Amino acid sequence: MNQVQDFALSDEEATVRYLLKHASAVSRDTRLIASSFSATLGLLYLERRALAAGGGAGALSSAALAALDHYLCTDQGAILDALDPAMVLRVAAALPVRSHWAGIARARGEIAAQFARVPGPHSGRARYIESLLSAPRVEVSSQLPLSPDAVEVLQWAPPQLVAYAYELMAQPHRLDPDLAECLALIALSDLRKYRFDTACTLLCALLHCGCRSDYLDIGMEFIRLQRRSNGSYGHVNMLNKKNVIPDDLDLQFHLPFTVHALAVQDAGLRPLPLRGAA
Amino acid sequence: MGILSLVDLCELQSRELLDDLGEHHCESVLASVGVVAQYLILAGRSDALVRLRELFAARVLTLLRNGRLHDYASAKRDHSSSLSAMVRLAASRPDFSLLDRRAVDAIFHGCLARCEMSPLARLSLDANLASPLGRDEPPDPWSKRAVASTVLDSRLLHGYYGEGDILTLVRLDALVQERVVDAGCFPVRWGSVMLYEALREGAVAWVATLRSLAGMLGAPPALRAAAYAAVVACVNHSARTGELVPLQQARPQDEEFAAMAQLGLRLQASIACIRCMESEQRV
Repeated sequence: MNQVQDFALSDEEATVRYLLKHASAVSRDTRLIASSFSATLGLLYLERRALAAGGGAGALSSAALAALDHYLCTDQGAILDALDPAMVLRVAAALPVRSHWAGIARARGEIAAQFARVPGPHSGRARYIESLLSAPRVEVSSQLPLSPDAVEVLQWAPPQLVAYAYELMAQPHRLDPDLAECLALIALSDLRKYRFDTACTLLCALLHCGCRSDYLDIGMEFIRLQRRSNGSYGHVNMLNKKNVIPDDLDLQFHLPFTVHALAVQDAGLRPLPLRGAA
Repeated sequence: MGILSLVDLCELQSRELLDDLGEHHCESVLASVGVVAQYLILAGRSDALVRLRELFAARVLTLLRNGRLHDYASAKRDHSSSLSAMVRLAASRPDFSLLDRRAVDAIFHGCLARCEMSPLARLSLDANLASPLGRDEPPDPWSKRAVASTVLDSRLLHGYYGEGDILTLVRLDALVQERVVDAGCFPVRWGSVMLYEALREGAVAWVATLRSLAGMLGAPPALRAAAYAAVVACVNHSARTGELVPLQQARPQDEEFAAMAQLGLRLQASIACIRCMESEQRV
């Protein structure tokens, strides 16, 4: 293991501090509330990781959750319009079993009511939201639904890939090894180009399906190596004039990358299914 | 059938290109000849391309002897890669003499004195020369150094890679085949990512080159199938139209060179496709 990896793996506290800073920045600014949700989800992933590693139940997220819950109780309509419904549902799904946050529960209920009015059948991201609203799945189905041809998938554009990744997360199932390998190498290519949202969604989907491969391991290692000294993830080459640097680099780049990275690591902690996985 | 007609077409177009280089002082022709020479070196084991390689080697040796290559050593643009590939082909001729070697040294010094060559290009020139000039010596130590400095370079992991990296993979593949380096050194997974990206970009020459490497036999079967289908489609198209393999739109960073060396790049892509189909038939 090299020094960079050592650093990346050992300095989790910096990531906690980074996320706490953003999670606690709740205000009436809807962008900040969205960021707070995102950072809170990251904290929930870290708590779950600590539990899986044999640590006690942490309370990293409780202050942030309390603030968010309060906002959702008082001004839910306006806030919900500005939030990604999948993010709210992911936070609700990541909460510890016995916890109860009234505002978040109401928000989930409101999203469920809104979603019920959307005509089905659903596909892609909508199918994923539907799965988050239904009971959580614990098993990877050994059934092989109609899978796309791996050669065809290599020609897909990012939106198609992301939609397929959401389908997989909604209904994890055994994947043809060649297809799984191709999806992981597409994720690697996207990581190299810093299309981390597509890449991390693909990696999460593969991990949900119980896939493990060398390509996937390289992808996860690549993500780990993106950790910065302040705990956030992602490096931007400021000298490359082709890079469009957003006004708020932290909120628009580092924080989403950090939460995506933690989501991949969280998905990687899922136990391998006993049967049916590729 | 497709391969044979494409080989004939490559020979015809190459003769015209070499005639042009002999008659005119033109950088775009030099650039074209250079990229073809590089790919002919890579296709060193190809049976289908033997005649074309010999044609190039003989003509380039003539150009070296009549001082034509020296002219280009003082050109404004850095042509060291083209020159080194041409010199290496010339040096593969059995009649390459000590006098010819001195002529090559003069080109070297011309380039070095003008500081026209980047360190990597200089290394490439040395590496290209080391092998043919030391035919009875142990395998090329320069190649190993190039492998260490380039393949293991973090560019493969984090940043942009270019044709230089792909050519280094080709060299590494040859070294693995010759058992100079361990097969585990070949980065098949990063090679697969490069192949996927080349496929998405429509970079036929890169697709065909990477697909034909022995080290890439471990790439995902679907990726290999998609790459091979793309190569066959190009060769079939050429057989139908009687033209060299067409080039896709160049990436922005390659546009200037693509415009300058268009014929050479089409020959290069055609040679790579021939090599790829030939290697598939051998598997």
